[in-house]
Amino acid sequence: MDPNEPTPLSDQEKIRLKRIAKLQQQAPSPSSSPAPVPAPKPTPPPAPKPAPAPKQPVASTSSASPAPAPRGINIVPAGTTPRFAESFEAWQDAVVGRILNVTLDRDAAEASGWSVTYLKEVADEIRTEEPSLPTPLKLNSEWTDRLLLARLSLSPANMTDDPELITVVASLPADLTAFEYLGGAWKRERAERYKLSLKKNADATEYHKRLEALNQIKALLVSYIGLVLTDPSMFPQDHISNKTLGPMELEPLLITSTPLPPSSALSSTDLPSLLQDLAARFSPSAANDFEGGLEDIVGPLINALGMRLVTNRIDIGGGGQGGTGWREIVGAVQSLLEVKGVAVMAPEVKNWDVSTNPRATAPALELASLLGPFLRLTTFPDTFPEIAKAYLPDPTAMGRGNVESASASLRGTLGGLQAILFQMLNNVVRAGPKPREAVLSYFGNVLKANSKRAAMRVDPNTVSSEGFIINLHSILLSFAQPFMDAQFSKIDKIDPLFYKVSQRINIAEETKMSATQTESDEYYARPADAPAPPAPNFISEIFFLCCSYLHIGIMHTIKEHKGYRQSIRHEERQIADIEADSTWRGTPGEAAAQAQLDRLKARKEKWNSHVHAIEVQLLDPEYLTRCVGFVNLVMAWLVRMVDPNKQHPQTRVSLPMPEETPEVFRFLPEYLIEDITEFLSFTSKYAPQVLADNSQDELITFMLVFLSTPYMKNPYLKGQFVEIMYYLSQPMPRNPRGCLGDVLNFHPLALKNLMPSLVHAYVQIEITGSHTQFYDKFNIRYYITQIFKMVWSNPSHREALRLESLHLDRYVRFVNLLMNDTTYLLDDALMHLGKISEIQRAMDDKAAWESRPATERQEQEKLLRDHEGGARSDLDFGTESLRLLKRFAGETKEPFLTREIVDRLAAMLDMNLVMLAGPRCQDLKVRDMEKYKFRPKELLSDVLGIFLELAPRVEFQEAVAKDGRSYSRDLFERVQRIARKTSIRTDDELEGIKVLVEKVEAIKAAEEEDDAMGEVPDEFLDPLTYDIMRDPVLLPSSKTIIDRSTIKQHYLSDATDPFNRVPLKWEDITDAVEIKAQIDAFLAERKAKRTGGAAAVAAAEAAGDDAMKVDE
Amino acid sequence: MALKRINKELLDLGRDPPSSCSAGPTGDNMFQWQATIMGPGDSPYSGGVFFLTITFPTDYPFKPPKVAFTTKIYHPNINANGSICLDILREQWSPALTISKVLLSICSMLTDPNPDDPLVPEIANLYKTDRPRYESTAREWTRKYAM
Repeated sequence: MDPNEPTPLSDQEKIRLKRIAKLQQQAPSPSSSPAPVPAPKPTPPPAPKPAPAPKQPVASTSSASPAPAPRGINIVPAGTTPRFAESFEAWQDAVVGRILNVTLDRDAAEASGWSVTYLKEVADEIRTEEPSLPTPLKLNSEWTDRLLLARLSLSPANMTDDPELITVVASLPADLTAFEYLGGAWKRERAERYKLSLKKNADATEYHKRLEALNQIKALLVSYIGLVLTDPSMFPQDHISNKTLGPMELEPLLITSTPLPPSSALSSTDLPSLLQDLAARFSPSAANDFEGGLEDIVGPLINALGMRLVTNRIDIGGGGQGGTGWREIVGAVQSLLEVKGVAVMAPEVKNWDVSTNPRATAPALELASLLGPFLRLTTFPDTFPEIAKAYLPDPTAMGRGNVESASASLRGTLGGLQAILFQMLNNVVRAGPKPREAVLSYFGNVLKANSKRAAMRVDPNTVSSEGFIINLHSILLSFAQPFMDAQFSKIDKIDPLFYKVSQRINIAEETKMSATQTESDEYYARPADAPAPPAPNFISEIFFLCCSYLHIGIMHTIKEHKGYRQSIRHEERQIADIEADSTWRGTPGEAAAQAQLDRLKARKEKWNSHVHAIEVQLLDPEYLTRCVGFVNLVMAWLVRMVDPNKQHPQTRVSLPMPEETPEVFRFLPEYLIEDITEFLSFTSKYAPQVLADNSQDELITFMLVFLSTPYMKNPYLKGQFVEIMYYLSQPMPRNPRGCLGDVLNFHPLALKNLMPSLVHAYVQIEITGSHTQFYDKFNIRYYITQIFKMVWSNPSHREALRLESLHLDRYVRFVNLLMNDTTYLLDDALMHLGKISEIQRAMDDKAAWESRPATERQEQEKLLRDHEGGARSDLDFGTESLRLLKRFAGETKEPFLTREIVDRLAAMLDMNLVMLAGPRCQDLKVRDMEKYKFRPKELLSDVLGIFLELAPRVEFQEAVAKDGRSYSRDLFERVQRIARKTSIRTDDELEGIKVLVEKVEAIKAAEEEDDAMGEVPDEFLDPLTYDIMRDPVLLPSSKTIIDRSTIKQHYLSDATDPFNRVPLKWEDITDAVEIKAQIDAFLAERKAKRTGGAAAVAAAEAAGDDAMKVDE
Repeated sequence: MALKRINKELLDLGRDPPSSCSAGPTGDNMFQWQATIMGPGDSPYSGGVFFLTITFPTDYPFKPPKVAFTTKIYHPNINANGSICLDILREQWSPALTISKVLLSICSMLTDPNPDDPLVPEIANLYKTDRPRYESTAREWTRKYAM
């Protein structure tokens, strides 16, 4: 392209011209019209124009300057200005010269050794315009604009033929940027302003006049500074090398470790004032034509600082390239945002919130959004694995103490970072309603993009990083701090209809507390009641955002933590298996096996290091304490939502509560409870001290309210509550009963409601809907047994249990399940022990064992380990379950004696006696019984204890008699001998067993007589037990006739018709009147036969004998 | 208390034995049974005879019997201990089911494993991805342990 050919103006050029035009419009010249300003041209000055008439009188006063005597007009009356020694004109000439470091007087420039720039072009112009002005020309603040333009158009790189100019240009500082020049001028203006301010009280008129002149200069300086920062190409700066022009010129002022160029007159302390000036000039306001511009200065600056963090991989552990640490970079952004004007304009930066860009996926948000690169700094290993490597390289070898101190130091850093990050966003929030909305909307949009983080499994490449989300959560917690006071005094400000009123958080697809999807859709689609409720307040916004960040934040972190721990256990198992297997040692495969072992160990240690890196944040007491504070608030608020008086916690809620679930609660997302439960469960295991240091009042109230009411449907969560209670009652340093032990024993709500709540929880955990529910329930019930045990000595609790047992129907359900569990667990435990014993005996026979093939031995060893594990957990749970059964049977007998319970109870107890004391009890003999917590004496004592509690009751005696499996007189005599010998029971007690046996024998004898009476018609037999039915009933759906006690036994565990699995309602079962009458008649007849025909029977037997004799 | 029921089941088994399986008490203990299953003809277990133990809990029939293989078998739902992963032996138990029905269910599980609820994930995986190899291993085990 021909360079001489006129080309259309580039866009940039156009913008530049527009800006200059605007600048000139805005140059404050209140008292006079400005002199015409030539467009900046690198060409020589235009030909002299005819001199225009002077547009303004040039004031002058007597002064000490060597200028010729002024033409005295406008002399300020003497006497009123004693302290303004110089005339205005002289002052003005001096001040403009000092500030701009220019002169229109060649001689003066020469006198300064050319350090003051002589603006020949301007001087010539003015002379042409106003030939009448005296020589040398005095500087005038009205000319600031053209002086600046002329000064900035000079460049050492632009040589000229004009000999006068050559000296000037050659004397310009070689490496001074336009910004640096303007910055120096700006700073000198401030110095002049300060000097002037000392004379403030001297002469008001004169003072204001001079101030006005300074204002004019300053306004132009600030405008030009803004322009050269935004567009450094506006003036010739080809002479500058090794400096980044534009917004980054502010960097050395922001970051102290970046050396200030020697050419800079500004220092970092000047920056706040400069930024304020820039903000005032480049923010939209009436004075600025509602046009901004500041965002084009701070935006690129902040973005460049952020990109430096990312590209140099700077982390908060001190890692990364480049000299600048994270502290300075983040501190720089923080100090920018300290300036209110900057805080107002930051959200105007184009990439403040990039979520509207369809290409900005969740993982990109933290890299592409303005503050993202700062908000993502963390110790989490997903984004900054180097920190784990540097600080926690080998936790096992480091030892606990070193891991602790490394973690503590990282925590300190992380806490500091999060405090700064909060300050950054807090500055923006406080800058006004619009920036505040921008912050909330950023939180909302990051949340929307990360909804997947709440899922069970999530591909980390589709969501934001751990640290980014947790930092945002931490910031939200800081925003919540003002309404997290101990009294929850602002709790009424939290809008119960938030999810209905606001679109910020989408919960449409979430499971609700107690509503179907259809109900929920309908509820949320229905417009809010008229008049429309106001938009949510800031407290509500922060409260619900905080809940959501708990949901996508720490919940996910806890899962990650668990995942790593599982990986570690997996590696450990593999390592243990290889180490336990001795077959590879001394073989050619040894090296390979050893290498495999080392690999596994290295991997395990890496996961271990990651776990600790996660724990830096996750177990940070300070962070957890804030989370607990917030969780307490959520708990109090949820209780308030179901409180019929809506007064909790100001007036504390009382139990029982109405059956019906309040509407506002039904439609809340279930995760509100799920998350706090998960959080508390995690904290109670890993950091109970944090919970201990807070009040447990809300915790216990919340759990009892939702355990004792049907409001919260999810049984799994109820199980979690119990687990939390258990863990928080475990001994802690300085507190043998944990932080909840005393609360459970003294809290008035607990004394009345703990027992019934636990009984309900025990029942409800039977069905969790999870595919592991069969095993889940044992864990939860184990915790329940432990809590019962803990509070058992408290008479108030026992009284509460007795009252609960009066609700016989539901209490029997509980007893039934307690018995089911005990039966299963002990049976299973004894089976495992039998197998262990068997394998151990096989191994004891060394010769035979060694002769078996290696693979078979390995298999048996593995089998042994499996059985050992099974025995351990069964005995753990089973022993406790049995003990609970004993306690409850003693405290509340009646439910244990109902027909649907007592038969199975007796059969189970008998069976356990056989196993523990029967002739083959030696089969259970295993080595190291304590290893499995197998204490046969204790078990036997507990079983006998239940016998003794129930032995006097005829229902129980009958049940023992009915057990066709384990009961025998022999067995019971054996048991008594063993019990006496091992002194687990006293003679008096054993007398009770003896009496029981006599009664049972008598009943059995009578029954055998009945059975001998011959066949019972099939239709009188129960279809499941094949016993004769005493109380037949008709099942509504399968139309089966069955004994009431049989169907009850089934129903207690499973509310279906056993013949077709159709759900069964107890009240739909009807008496089978007809068949009952037939059975009654049959039994009466049989009885009559028996009493009437005893002699006949004897005769028949005798006849039989006779017959045999005959046969002989 | 379950004695009458178990007696009845034994009686019915004798009266109307299911094809391809049998069951009965070991010795004089009515609550401890042994059962045999013939490997189904349309499965890789064909030709094998598999032994199982059956233990009745004291609360039978309200709770399921415990059934386990004593013969080693290569199957996604049966592990090295012989434990069986079958819903009717756990949460899908109904007191109206009988030993006979349980054994028939196990037979059909041999023909159609359920790889989506596996007890041995490796076998389930092989079953899903490389059926021929699964079948040949199962056949080999059957020859080795069940013939």
